Amino acid sequence: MVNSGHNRDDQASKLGMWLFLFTELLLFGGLFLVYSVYRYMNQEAFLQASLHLNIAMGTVNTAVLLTSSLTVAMSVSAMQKGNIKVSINLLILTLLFACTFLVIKYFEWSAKIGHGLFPGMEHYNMLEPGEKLFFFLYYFMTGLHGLHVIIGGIFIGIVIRKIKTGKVRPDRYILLENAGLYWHLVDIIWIFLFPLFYLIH
Amino acid sequence: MKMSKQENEATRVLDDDPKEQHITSFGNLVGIWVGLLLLTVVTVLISVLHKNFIAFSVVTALVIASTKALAVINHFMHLKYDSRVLKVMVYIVFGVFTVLIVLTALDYFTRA
Amino acid sequence: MSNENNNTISFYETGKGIFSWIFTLDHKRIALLYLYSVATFFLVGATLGILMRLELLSPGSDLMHAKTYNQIFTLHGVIMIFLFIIPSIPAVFGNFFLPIMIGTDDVAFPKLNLLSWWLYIIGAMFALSTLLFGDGPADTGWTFYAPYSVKTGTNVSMAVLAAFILGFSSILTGLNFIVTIHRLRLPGMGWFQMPLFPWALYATSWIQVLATPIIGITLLMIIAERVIGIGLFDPALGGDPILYQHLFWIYSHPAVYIMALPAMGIVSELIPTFSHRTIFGYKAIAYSSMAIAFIGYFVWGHHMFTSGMSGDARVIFSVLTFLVAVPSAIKVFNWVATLYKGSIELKTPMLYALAFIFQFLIGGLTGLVNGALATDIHLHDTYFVVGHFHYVMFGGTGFAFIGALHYWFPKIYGKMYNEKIAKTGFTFLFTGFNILYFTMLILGIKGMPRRYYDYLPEFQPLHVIATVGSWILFTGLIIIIVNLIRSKRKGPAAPRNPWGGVTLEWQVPSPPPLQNFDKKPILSKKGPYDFK
Repeated sequence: MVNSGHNRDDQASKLGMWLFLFTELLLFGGLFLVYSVYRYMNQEAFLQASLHLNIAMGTVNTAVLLTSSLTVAMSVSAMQKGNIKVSINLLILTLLFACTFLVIKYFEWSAKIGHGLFPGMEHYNMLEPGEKLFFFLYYFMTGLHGLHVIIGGIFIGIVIRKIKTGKVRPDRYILLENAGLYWHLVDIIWIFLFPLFYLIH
Repeated sequence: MKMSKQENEATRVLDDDPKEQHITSFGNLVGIWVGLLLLTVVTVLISVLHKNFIAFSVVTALVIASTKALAVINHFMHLKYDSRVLKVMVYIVFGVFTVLIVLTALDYFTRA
Repeated sequence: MSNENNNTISFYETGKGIFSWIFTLDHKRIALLYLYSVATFFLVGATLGILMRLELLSPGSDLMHAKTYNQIFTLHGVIMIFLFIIPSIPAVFGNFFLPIMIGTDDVAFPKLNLLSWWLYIIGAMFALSTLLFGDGPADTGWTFYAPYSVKTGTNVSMAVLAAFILGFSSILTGLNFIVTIHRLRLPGMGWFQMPLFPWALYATSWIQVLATPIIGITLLMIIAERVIGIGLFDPALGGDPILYQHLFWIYSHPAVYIMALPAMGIVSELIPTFSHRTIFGYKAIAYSSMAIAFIGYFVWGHHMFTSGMSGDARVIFSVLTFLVAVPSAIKVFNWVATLYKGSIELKTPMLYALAFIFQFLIGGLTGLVNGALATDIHLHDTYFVVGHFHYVMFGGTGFAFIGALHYWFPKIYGKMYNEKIAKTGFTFLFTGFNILYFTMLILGIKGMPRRYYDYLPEFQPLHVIATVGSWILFTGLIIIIVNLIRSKRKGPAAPRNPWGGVTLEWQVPSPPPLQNFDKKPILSKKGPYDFK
């Protein structure tokens, strides 16, 4: 009805996407709540555990995601101004940054798993209790976040296709805006994950 | 269900919708991005160098992260130029979430 | 099937065959898909309740052993809460009537609406599948408390996954309604020209959207613990089982307002219609719905007074709990004030509305008794709590649901139900209900613990009374259901407006056509409850 061409309502679509973002925020929010309680209860252990993380890689990844947010925001502006080709290229750039993020994440994870630092493995089993909690939360939260990076990437990929087939265009680009909104949320979650896991003192 | 094929239909507009679409210029966006990168550098430096001068606490990290998030929300996500209804919703949601954390923390901070 | 003044076909005629139903995008058909689903699961849950009451007729094991009993009350809770009460009023009556009451032809996102029902069915199948394999259904109680829920061999992961999927169904409904109410109201219908049922749905939808994700992630954590074997709530790892309770109740308390608010919205429609008088304090009721939704987020700790939470936190949660009672009380005052000097018609829907007020009052007051720290210490985990929540959830929401079913029956089916039989069914239901659950309040004060299949002999007389009450109640349910099914098939044709209601659904044909309105709806300038 609303968005099938008859009675189109872009503001409704945008509102719907924001509401969905609220649910994602609360979903991660539950994990942030667990994190904050356990960090409070295990401050020394969390500090010790965080030393295993590579601050350089985390920082680069933060910059990568921030830049990907820039490119997708620019893509929306380009579309609004009618620069369809520029818009597509910026989206492709966004996807490249997304892949970069995932690749760096892959190296981070495999390095740790290579050292036996995964729930169930030997090095992990030798950690202090609070450190174990830190790592469980690290893998759960960055893993869930990574899943959302992939979902966001697929969403952007779909939008690229729809721009190429003319379904998304300067007078009808709410889908692009919504994909951008989703992507920015993914960025915001990482903005908080980064200091909480990598920068504990 | 009959679907209209008229894809050039104008979109529905209600009274409190923004009057015209605001287009954020590339310059503005890049400026925000530079600010975000700077804040990232600041937050990393504070943490890495804390042994030398500034005491780094969770609060500082969260304040910087929140500032970055607000910049993304207002400018990249365009909320600054959206309807008042949407802005109120976003603030209330963040507010509710914050109170949830505070109330839970209340239990843990006040345990014997 | 057409009706007077109607030259358009009803929404039943717009497609035939099962695929035109399970792949429909029509909100009215989706509402009926939900109706038949929730009603079926309600009967399953009710049967489980009857079995529990049979077991409790005497101390010791009668029909079953402890573990089976635990599995039955767990399944009873999971089915009643996730498969019946939470979806019931929004997904059935919200879906059917929200668009019509605000003057539009469907919800904002019809495809998401259909997806919501599909997710509901998938979640239900997952939940029921726990009966079929391994060690049987979960035996943890519907609350799935850690550490037992992590350690038990029963099918907790599957049950919890089912709840996760059902959560998405709920979220989609809420999201859809929020956008629908914001964007699709008839031009000229401002927020304060909207009837109170949409207001109730609006407040409810916000809770569905914001609270449900938290239980979603919590349930995922339980699955992670069970599958990976690492304790997120395990003290041996620096974890805290009370944190599970915090996370669980952060959703599950607001969830009870997902159950209560739509029911209150129904009552706010029934009372003015059957008093033929405009509602007293329209804005107060509208605002109080939002207030209940908002404050309701911050009271969850009152489920945890004996858990080991800090003393200071307990005091704060107790105070907040008393605060949330205020807007509820405001509603009750306004409903009663509406009755005063009204031209009251005691038709069946009105009986349910009045019963709601009586029963919700008892439920609410016993809620305050539970919310006071000193008394809760004695009453926590006793039958007093069981009585309390059945009064609000069943005596409140359940009765409102059945009342709404009778109220809107003529509109949905174009037929009238048999009023006499309906009233008989109500009498049995009301009598049985109060015998069953008031007795529980007494049992609880005397010290009978909840979730126990065995008990000291001194409790037996009251248990017998309660069980007899359950049989009377169940008889009432059968009468009601048989009456409605027969009336749907063979009842007399219903007019457009059998009750003299003034909200927009009474301006459309019974049953409505696909596009809802055959004529442009007429809004009264004097507000949504203008009884001339």
